[in-house]
Amino acid sequence: MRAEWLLSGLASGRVTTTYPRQREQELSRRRWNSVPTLNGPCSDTACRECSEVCPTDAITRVETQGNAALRLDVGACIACGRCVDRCPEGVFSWAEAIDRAEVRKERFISTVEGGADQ
Amino acid sequence: MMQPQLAETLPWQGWRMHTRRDDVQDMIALVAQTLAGGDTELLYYGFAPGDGEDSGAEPARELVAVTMDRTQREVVWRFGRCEAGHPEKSPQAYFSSRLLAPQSGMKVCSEFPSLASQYLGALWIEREMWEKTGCIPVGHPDLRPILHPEKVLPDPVARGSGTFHLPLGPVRADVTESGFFLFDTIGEQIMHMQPQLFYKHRDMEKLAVGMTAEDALLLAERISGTSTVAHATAFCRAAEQALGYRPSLQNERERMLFGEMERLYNHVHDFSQLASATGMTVAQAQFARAKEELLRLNAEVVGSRYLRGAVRLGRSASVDWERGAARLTAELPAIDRRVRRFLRLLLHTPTFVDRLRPTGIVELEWARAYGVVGPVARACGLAVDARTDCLRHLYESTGHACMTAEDAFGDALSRFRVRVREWDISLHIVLELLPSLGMSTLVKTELSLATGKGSMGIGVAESPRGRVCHVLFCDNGKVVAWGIRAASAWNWPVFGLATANGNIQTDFPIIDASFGLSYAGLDR
Repeated sequence: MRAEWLLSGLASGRVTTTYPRQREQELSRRRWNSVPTLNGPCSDTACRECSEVCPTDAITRVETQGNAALRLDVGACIACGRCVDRCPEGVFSWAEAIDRAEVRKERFISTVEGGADQ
Repeated sequence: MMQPQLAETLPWQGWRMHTRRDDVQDMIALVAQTLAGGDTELLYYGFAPGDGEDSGAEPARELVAVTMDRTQREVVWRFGRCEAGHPEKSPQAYFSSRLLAPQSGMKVCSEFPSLASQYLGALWIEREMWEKTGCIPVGHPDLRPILHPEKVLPDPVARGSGTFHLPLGPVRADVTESGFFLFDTIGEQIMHMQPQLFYKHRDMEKLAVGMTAEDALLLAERISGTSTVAHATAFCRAAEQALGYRPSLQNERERMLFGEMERLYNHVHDFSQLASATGMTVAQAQFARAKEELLRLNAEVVGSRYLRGAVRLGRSASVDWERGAARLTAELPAIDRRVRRFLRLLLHTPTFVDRLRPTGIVELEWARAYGVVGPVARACGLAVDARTDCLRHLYESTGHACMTAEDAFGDALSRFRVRVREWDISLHIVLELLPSLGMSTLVKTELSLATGKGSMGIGVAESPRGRVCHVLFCDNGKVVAWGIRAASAWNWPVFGLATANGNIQTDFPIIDASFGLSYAGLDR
């Protein structure tokens, strides 16, 4: 564990320990509205439903050469659930667990490349 | 000029709504006169959106006061335009010498006769109105800055040998939010206490301007975390009235149920805080455990521990009621048995009861004069409860009754007892409402936002801390102005008086816990 600390300390300048080291059953067993996750690529390049309904602009469509990638910033999410409710493709679903911590803010951002239309 | 459109929505069924436009002098005089009657309560008081704001000139401010007459069953919106200030009169001329001078650079735009000089409940409201706009409430008895604690803090009042000034906060222990308290003490005795709040002021009423009602609902949910449902419900009721939408009974029943679920965890939290303040560690731990169980139950039924996203605008919650009802009926009785047992034990513990008995007394005349709401008012024997005042026809089928204290001393013990009785009632309402929800299927009707120009609405809900009121002005489905009046906003001014009412320094945590006030609700 000390070696782990030392390595993470050297890398990030901070030494932290996950607590509890193992995720508690309570946190992963129940279906709570935590934050949404991306299930997979979105096949509808024309649809803007998710980025329009998101009140905090946590979801953005990034278009590069006809390829509509989807970008989700969980750090900006307020768990309103509109994307989970409204997406006709079912791209979003609630994450399993409510505990989420990252060292860097950028880690909260997840991206998927566009799907079928290409 | 905004054309009022006051559709009769379900919560206001059988009520009459009037709008009156008067000269500002008459308006204030009439409001003060009706409030002095006793049956009328002030729901909202503030500025209405004026029509001069687009022109770029100094806006012509218009006052709005919404009063509710319980016996006549009518709600009156009174509007009055502020008069232009006297340019030759310096701002200082409006202030008596013993009061703080206004901040430099502030000009007097306009003036209006102070309602606070006749109705003390408007004291803090008018201080805030003055500081936000520069409109002077002429004749206000205590005009001091209130909004910017980083610039101005209260001055001690007591002087002389043996008096001490004890500042407390703004950083507080536990989950308590930020607030600054200045105690003037002589020995142990508290002579005077001045709270300074607004550390969490986010100017939410301004943030929502230009948003759709659906987006503003997300803000309303975040006014005060522990009154999420009450604020969301009041907001939705106001928005639905403004947009001319009539919610279904199923919608309202769900809101009532969520409101009671919120009351349950809030009351058990207050029991826990009170047990902690009196050193009853076992009771404190047991109540904290019950609170956590209730929060997890909330999360299982709705998806959010603090019931966010449960109240929707113009449609019912996306909750699987068959499963939710089964979980609630299975879990609640066990939690209730445990909570009741510890409440009974506490009420038979002399060291607990003795600490609460003459502590933090709110005199009946203070409660009346300041328009106090919630368990604090009911502990003084005042039957103030939005559920019986204006939402009676919704709640009468659930067997709800307004729970005033049997021994209305207005002290910490009376407040504790009111909450104990309300725990029973809330639990009863939840179990009573559940069967009617489990049967119905999920109805998803989208609210049509295409309505005419200029409409307004008022929504009321009973939060765990008392009556919450939202006033909303909409234009083409967008929010033009929003007024929030949380329960704690009525109770905070009395808190300082009750703390200094013959108590000693060590009584403060008990008084604090027994009031159970929300900081964010007032600060908003």
